[in-house]
Amino acid sequence: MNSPIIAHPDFYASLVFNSSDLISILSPTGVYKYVSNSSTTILGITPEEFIGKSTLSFMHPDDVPIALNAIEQIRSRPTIHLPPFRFRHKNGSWRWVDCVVKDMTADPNVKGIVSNARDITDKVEAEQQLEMREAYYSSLFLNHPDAFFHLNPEGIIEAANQGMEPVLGLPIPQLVGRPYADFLTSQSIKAAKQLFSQALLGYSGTMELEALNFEGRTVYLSITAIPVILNGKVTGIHGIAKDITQIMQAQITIKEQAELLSSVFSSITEGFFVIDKQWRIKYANPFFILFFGLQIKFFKEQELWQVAPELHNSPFFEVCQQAAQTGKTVHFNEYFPERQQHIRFAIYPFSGGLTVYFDDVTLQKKKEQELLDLSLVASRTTNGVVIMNAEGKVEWVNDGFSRLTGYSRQEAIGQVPSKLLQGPGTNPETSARIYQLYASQQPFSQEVLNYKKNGEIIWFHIDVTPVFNEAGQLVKYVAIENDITELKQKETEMLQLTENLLRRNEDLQQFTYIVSHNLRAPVANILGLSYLINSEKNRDSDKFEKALTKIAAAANHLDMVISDLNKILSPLKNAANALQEPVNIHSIVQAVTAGLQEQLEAVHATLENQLPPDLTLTGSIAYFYSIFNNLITNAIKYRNQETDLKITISGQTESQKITILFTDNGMGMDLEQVNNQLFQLYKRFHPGTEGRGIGLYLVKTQAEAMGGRISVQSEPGKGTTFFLTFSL
Amino acid sequence: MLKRIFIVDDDEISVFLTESILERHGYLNCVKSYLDPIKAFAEILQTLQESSDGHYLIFLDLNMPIMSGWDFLDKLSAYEASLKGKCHVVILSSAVDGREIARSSQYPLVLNFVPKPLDPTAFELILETLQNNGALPAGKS
Repeated sequence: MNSPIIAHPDFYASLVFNSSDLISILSPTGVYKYVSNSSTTILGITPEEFIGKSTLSFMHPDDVPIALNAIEQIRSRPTIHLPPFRFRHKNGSWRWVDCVVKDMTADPNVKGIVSNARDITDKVEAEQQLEMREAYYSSLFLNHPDAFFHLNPEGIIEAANQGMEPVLGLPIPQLVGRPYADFLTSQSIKAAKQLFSQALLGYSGTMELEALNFEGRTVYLSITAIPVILNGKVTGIHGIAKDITQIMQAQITIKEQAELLSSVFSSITEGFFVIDKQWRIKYANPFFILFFGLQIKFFKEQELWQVAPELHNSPFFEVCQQAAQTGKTVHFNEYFPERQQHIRFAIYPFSGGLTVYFDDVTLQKKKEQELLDLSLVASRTTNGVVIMNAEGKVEWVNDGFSRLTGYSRQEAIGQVPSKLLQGPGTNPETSARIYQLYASQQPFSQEVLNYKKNGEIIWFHIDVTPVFNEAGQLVKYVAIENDITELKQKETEMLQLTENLLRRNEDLQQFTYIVSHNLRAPVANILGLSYLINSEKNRDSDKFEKALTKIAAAANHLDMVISDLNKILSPLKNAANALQEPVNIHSIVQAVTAGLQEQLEAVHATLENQLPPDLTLTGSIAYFYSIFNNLITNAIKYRNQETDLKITISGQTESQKITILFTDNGMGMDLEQVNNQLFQLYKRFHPGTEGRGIGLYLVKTQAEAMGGRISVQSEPGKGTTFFLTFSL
Repeated sequence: MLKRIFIVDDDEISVFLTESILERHGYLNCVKSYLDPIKAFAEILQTLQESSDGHYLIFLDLNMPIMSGWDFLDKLSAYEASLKGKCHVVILSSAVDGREIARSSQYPLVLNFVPKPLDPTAFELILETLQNNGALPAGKS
């Protein structure tokens, strides 16, 4: 500084004069005494314009206190560096000025306060702008409701805003200074590293990561990493964290439910699919895939008609449209001739499209049809058809059953057929057998006498088949009832005929035998007697005489037998077509009694005819006459010697039949001894009485020829009753 | 030696004829005739049971009331063991029937089946058979 050039006073004047700083000299009250030339450059005001004016008049009113403060302090302090203040430019704008003042009042060369000011407007404005930016940033970073954090290039958290606290439940001091990886689950660290290294290369990115909160529970965060680039270099990374745990949990729940639904749909044995409003398949279960023979990959999102063209242009399409329009569920069946299948559809419309269930019901339809056919057959057949439950109670009968038995379906249902139809004429053994056969649960056939509702007899041939379910349990019986009444009647008639023929044949054999004995007996006697007569030399002998008498008796006997034969043969001859004339029995008895009046009176006999006077039977007058004649004659013959004979003839009517009782108080018989030979030809049971054993034989033969029957009750010593039964 | 000859027949003439033939052969004193078969059975059985030796001949008719010849034979068969060898039955029937002859051969007590009327030749044949059986001494006829 002490160089020779400084010595000259002009040097300093020139320095001040040309300096870019504004140098001025002020009075102690702030009035300008000198202003350097630079004032024109800096403020557009010439130095002359400053002289004599107060510095305060050029200052910004807000900054005046700074000047007043400096004027006050300058007396006690030699140099003051004022804070920046604003100074008026000639054009009206304000310029920031940095100013240093020094009190040089004591210096004789100056005698005033030197002010050295510099225009710092550009600097101050730049500083102010920087402050504003920082305020923005800090406001954005610290006060933003989202969670923000800052990482340095080493991955250490350098800062975190208030929003970060609730995310993990940790206070910010516990976050700052620690590497980010400390807060993530091990599964997420790898992904996080990728995001971090991308950011270090200058790329932003977002990832969903799993972090652990203060309790050690997993929280799902969406992390966005933004690189902070300064001068083309990444100096740090900003991070934004969003808690998406609830969203994630909702997504997991949705996914789980979707899987559950899918498994439910897959397990549905019916076909199931969902289509949207554009007929695109949104879902279809395996049955659908199988049914339409699809490859799983190719059907989703395809139009239904492409996958299953047969559903197009079919009633199904129309019904779907209808369901979509009305929003109402539709059930319907459709037959697909090419498949030969009946498909049952259930279509449920919903806001997004249609849900369709479908099932192959071909078998079911077939069974329904079969059942329909069967029921048609069963109802139209002339036979009776009865369906019973496992307890044997009627569930259904056809019209044929009602026609045959007279019981309507309503009357039959719930009844046990055996109990409903069997009656007093049903053979109890047959009844028991049917019961056992039902219990045996085996198919069986049986002929049985049943009764119609009106009491008429009907013979059924029944075929019963038990029906079992898949488990082998008895569920039903099916019975077919065939009316065999006519057949049975013919069978009965045939049996009757055979019986009659057999009996007649027996009778004939008996007849032949008896006739041969009885016819030969007198012949043998005659032969013997004639031999005796021929060989007897003495014709006057007693023996000769006896033989002659006896030969006459024997010849008479023979004659009698021959006349008997005539009587006997007559009913046999006419048996096939016995006379069919009405005969009043009461009158016949009266006539017979009259004819035998003499004989009856001779033995003091009484006869009581108690028969109804109008009793009329169909037959032959001669036979009825012969019957009563024989019975009365017999009664006289075999009367009890100790009491007077009493004969009673009465009738008992019972269901289309009359039994005539012929009772006497005669000798009676031991029926055990008589055995069953009483009514046989030439059988005599009373030794010592006259009789040829033809009377009762004739009674029986004649009664039977007219469709009657005869039986007897007797007790030795008390009397005999004959029972003659005829159809009315 | 024939101790007794019984005739069981309800036909009086037939009995008379049979007795006449027996009389000719000198057997009348030992003949006992019955018209009632029930009475006949009772008495004949008693006689047979009381007798310890000798031979008995019965002429039996088949066609009788209440008790036929067959009934008679059936009742007699109950005592067959004690009667065998001493009681000989000859069936005397008015009719000759093959089935009846066959039936009569089932009864061990029946000796012969003879058609009525009994004639001397037939009776001699019966006696011959009895001799062959040892019931009668030979040459007696």
